[in-house]
Amino acid sequence: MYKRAKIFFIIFIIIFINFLTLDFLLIDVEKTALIVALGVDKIDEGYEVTVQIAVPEATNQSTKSNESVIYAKGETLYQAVNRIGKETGWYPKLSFCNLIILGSSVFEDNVMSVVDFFIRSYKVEDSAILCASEESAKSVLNSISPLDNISSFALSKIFVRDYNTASPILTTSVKEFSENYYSNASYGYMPLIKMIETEDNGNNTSQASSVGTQSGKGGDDGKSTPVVYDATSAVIFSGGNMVGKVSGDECLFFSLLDKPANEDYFSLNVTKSNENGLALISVRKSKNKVNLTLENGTPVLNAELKVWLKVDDGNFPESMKEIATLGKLSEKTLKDASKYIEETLKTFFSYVKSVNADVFGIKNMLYRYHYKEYEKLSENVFQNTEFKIKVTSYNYI
Amino acid sequence: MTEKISLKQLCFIIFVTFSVSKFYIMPAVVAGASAESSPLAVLLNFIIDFLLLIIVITIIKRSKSKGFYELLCTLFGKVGATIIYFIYGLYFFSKALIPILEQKNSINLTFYESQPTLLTFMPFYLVAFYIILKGFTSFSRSVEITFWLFVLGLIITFSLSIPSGKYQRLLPLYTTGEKLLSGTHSALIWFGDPVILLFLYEFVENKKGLFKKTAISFTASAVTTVLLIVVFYAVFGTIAERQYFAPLKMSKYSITLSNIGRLDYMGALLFSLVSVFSLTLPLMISSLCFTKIFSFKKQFVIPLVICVAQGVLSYFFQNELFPLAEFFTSYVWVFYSVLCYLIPLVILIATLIKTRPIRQLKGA
Amino acid sequence: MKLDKNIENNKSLLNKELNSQDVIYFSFNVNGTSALAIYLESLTDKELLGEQVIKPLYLLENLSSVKSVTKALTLPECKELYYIKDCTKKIVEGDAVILIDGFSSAFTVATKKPSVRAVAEPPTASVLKGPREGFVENILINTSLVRQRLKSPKLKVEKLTVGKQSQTQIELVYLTNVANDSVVNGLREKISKINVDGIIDSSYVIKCITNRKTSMFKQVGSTEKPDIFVAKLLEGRVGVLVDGSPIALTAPFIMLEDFQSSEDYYINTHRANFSRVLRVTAVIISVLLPAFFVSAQLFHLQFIPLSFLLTIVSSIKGIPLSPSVEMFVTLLIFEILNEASVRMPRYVGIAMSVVGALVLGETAVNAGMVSTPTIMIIALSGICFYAVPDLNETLSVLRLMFLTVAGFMGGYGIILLSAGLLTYLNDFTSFGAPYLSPYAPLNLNDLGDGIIMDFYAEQTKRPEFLKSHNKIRKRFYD
Repeated sequence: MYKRAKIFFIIFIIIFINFLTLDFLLIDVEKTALIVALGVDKIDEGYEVTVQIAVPEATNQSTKSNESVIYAKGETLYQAVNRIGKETGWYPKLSFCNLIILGSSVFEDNVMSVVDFFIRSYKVEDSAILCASEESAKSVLNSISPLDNISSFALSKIFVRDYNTASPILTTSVKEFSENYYSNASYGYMPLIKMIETEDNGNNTSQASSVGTQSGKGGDDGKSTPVVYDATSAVIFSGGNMVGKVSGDECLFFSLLDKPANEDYFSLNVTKSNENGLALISVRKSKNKVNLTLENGTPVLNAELKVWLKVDDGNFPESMKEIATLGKLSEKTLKDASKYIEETLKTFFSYVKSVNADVFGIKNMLYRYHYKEYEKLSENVFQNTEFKIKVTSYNYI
Repeated sequence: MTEKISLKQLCFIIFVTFSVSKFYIMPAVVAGASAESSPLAVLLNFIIDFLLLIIVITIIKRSKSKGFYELLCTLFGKVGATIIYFIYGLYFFSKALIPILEQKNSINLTFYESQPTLLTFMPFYLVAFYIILKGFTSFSRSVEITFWLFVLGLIITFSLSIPSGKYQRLLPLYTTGEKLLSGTHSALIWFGDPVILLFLYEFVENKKGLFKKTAISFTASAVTTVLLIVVFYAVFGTIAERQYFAPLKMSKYSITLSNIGRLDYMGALLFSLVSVFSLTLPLMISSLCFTKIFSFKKQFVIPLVICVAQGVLSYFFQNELFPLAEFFTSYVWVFYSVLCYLIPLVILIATLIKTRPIRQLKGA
Repeated sequence: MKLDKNIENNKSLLNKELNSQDVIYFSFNVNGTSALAIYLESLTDKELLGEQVIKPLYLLENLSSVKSVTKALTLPECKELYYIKDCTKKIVEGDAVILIDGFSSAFTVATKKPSVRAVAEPPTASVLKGPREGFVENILINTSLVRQRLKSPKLKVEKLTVGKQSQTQIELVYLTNVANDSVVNGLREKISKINVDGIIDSSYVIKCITNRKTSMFKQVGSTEKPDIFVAKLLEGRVGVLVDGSPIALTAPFIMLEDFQSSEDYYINTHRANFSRVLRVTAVIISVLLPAFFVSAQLFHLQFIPLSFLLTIVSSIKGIPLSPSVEMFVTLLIFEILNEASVRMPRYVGIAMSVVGALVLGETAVNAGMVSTPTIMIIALSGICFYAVPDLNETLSVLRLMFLTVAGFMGGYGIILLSAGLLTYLNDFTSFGAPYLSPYAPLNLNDLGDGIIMDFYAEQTKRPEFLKSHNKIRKRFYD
């Protein structure tokens, strides 16, 4: 054998021995906690972190996964997350964590003190969805949903569905939230989760055991009634502080100014044969145009929105002919719809202005498109901005 | 066997190595200094480097010597040439450090969580040593292959990241000259690459169309890098400063929430493979410089010393990438600028003087 | 030693040299003078010898010289011999040597009739479409198979004899107007320098003429099919035929050749391209899949989609081996099964498959020794392994290397090993041709027969890396 080959052989033996022993700080996949969602609540001692772990069932036939919820407390978020590993013996793997829920207690202070951790840490993907909860994050993660075995999976489905299109759910990620916070406008929004109890108890048998069974610190907040989640309202932030809540149609129309429509619905009062009724109208297509102009030194936010609508349902009887026209809206209804959207957005603008949450990013627009005027106007640009909106509705054929 | 590089291979080397070395922390560093003006700042760097390329190609074209060392011997004598080669040997040795640490950190970030560097990254030096030993012919052929992988990596990265960018974040592209120059200055240590050509031209077989072809590949490299910066800033905006290891991070946003798995890691893997060669290039040139000065009977001594020394250095500074990068951008850039821009200029002038046509006396 | 005029002396000398019981000494008379036919019982065609040599000699009336004797024979291949050494050489080759008393020379007649296998389709290179003939162990038949396809006066066959004991005949075959002289000279020189006892098969020649003796990569092309051999000669390669071996060699060799199949040129180009891409993909899967799977399990869980990861975790629960060792052991079992089944008689092979698939596979999973994903990965890798049969030997070693490195240092280990391998392969030349041609160095002309091949009409030039005399392969006129 050649001398060189001998050297290679020795190197191979060394590698191979290591290969067999695996004695180099490797963490066994079975000892890894695959964290799929993380909830943060503020407590007196600091923070309480609730993590939801995907635990596969140990059967050969089934790959159905179950969940386990673990809690840990710490003075800082980092400490609390670290404690999860120490107290359970599991190594917390955060790269699968796609959902971060902030409990209502977190909003008492500047939310960036919490979000900061997620943009600092490389272990958590900053693409994770960030959302707020009306109750504690712990209770949301402990809840049982008929939609999925794992509550966070059920929630993720809601958020992911309309991620790139307009929706009443103002989905945001850690990255987007931080980007908006650090921008000149320093704003933010995130969907607010409400848990709605359902009567359906049929699906909860398999999940009942999951709550708190492998918990580190007990699960007193666990609920036994199945819930569904509503996230069609949002909390808005100014400089990291929560300043208000917006809901339903406001969220949808605001989001239509930014993203294309994807079959979203809103209700509209319609008058037919001197009778008032309620129609469910779907927005099938949309086009938007938003810009900031300076008219005699006054900033004007011009928004133009074109929507293609269709009646999907109504609480009034319709003739066969009307049904056969596939939900066509009358000229008057189209005008009413345009007016309704305009009014809603104007109200929304006035509201965000009143709480000084520049969610339209007007200051950013001033910086980007009127940089020369930025120094002069930036201080009160949002408050001084006039909002002009023109909505045109068309029938979707 | 004499080492040979074809002009085509030289172009591949320029495109691949000049681009990938700027992909990791440079976009974040420039974004920290220039924010939305980062693409312009980097473009300015490329323009400066293009001027350097012109200088270098002129030197190569005017030089009648076989190689750069011989040219320096003609211009400054053997002692002068040896000193310059020694300095450049040190320069390339030190220039390799930051990109290697970048790669090491990005590897640890992407691939590993708890494993020690000694195990996960140090074997790189074993491969680097092997690549240096095999010489430029094998190196340039390998780069030719990795070019396709690099292009594939770019396609993956760009196709995943371009849709998630908000391009209005790049406005206003130009704010103040100070902001622009600040970015250009902070990126300087990642530039000055065309000087490498001075050391490689002795291996180039056919120099026909040298300027045209190298200029095209250099421009392609510049366009790719600037495009990367554009998409990077469009994706991250105000938090771009914090986003080190750009190609690994910017392409994940359209993929992490889907069920198809992390396709973006594919790009990271491909860039890591390309980087093995790109990181070895300065070490190879450093080895080339020292081999001209110190002759050892055993060919492997100098590459071995270089790889071991670099290994020790990178192990020592393994957690100091960012302070080190800051130190380099604050102080060391002066020395780098002298070596990359001033010395080639001096050599150009000396070459022009030496090679100018001597006027024939009338009647002579 | 020269032949003597005395036939008895010559007989005793030859007897001394050829001290073997299968050497026949047949005495007869030619025009009243005693003569002796010496031949090997096993290799000589006795009927031919009797009818075409001895019978005419019996009837010969004029016996003036050996030359005049040979003229009386109807056999074309008669040659006069003067030395004992030449006589023995001819006898061991299977020819008969005729000695006539009173003459200091002998003559040889080509009467050899070795046992020959019929020309048949080689089992390792069967095709759906295309010629089915394969080389056999007889070099003359092999040459005839080449000549039948290449009726060019430029086809040159150079004969060389190698092997101190075996005296194996080797033929260097090339087209003088196409092949590069330096390759021909280099190959001739290397073959002439072979100094071994015997050449049993052409693979012995490969081992002797390659530059990198320790490399696991093929450096000389080999084929069992004359159509492939001729196609390579036409491209500008040099062929080597070895007596006793059905495998012909061609040089220079590049890695791409392993991915090319003769059928690619006989079937639709689109399908051929698809097949080539499949082969490359299969090779990549075969080598890298087990390694990536192990490295993902050990180091990079985030590479695996969560739902699949949960499946893996659920299936590996309770498995006593670590992922890397589990994969290694399964691979080892696969290799042992493979090794055993190749050499087993066919009827035992079926039993072996049953044992392998059911007993080892199914039971091991049920017993919780190995997990189902691992079995699946090995099975997939194993199937892909046979997509390019010529690369089998190399791939099995590479797969093991990648697996070891992946288990040791994960994904970056795979990258580093790939970079090292790439450098190694690029440092490689086979008779002047870069091993990774036409991709490194990139040659756009040669890419026409690369992984994605051009249509036949577009492949007008010979591969440039072969540095052929005649660069134009064909011209198409509309």
